[in-house]
Amino acid sequence: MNKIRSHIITICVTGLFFLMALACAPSRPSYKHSKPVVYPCVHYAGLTYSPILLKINISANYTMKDISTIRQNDPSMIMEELLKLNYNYKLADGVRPNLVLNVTYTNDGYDHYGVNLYVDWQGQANFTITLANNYITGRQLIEDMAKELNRWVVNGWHSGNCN
Amino acid sequence: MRLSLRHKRLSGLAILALALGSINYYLFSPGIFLFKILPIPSERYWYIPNSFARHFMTGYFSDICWCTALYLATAVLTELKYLHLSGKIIILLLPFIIEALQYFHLIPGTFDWFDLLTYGIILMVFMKLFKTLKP
Repeated sequence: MNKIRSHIITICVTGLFFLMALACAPSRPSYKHSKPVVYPCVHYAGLTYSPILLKINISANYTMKDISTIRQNDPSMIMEELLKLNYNYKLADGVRPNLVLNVTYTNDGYDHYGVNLYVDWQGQANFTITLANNYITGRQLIEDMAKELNRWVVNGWHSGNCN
Repeated sequence: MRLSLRHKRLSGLAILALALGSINYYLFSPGIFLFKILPIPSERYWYIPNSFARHFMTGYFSDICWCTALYLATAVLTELKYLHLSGKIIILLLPFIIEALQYFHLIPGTFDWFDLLTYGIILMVFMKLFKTLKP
């Protein structure tokens, strides 16, 4: 009887603390199925004005042990790479940004990194750049992301169904 | 079941440790599953300027609280003779088992060698403090 009681208590304690550990895991976004909406194709010309004011938001789709440090350091690294390509970029400070860069770092679970960059242009249009989880260094990832972003900003982009 | 004052205090400490861990998550890492299922707004993100303190609070403090609460509960149950040796070993190894499951991506969460080291230190401290925890 005592043994059975011990087993039941063991299962309860283990289960309870196991559930606590699961509850403290980072939550993943949930996706609901819905019929895709087809939007008309709209072309947007490249941004030719100067400066192009940027606001950079950093997040990750996995648990980073120290995302605050990444949020401190990565915007300057991104700016550094962008400025190598185009002198027009500048971080918005106290004024409304022209482009809001929502950078979401991704990880395939084996320490290969990628990025999903959602760019909002003054709330009027947006585009997304995705680099697959094929990177092992953050510097290379940021360099490639900056190149891709600059290509879209300089040459323009389109939204909607352009097929 | 009547608890002695000592066991009441130990149980209280376990609950306090869990509460501190939850508050820490709420303040510094609100993006966890718990706050998505509970109707608690957790959008605000507190920032600790000191890099070491920030790293400790966001990465380890809640894990330490959770592990401490688990071992306190185990100590109480063992002293009350509610746990057999096998059950005690399973509960004491639970933090390491969870970390291993995270390593193999069988459950969500981040594997970290420092977590294992922390759990090992806490286990050793508890074995020193509570003789009944020794197998």
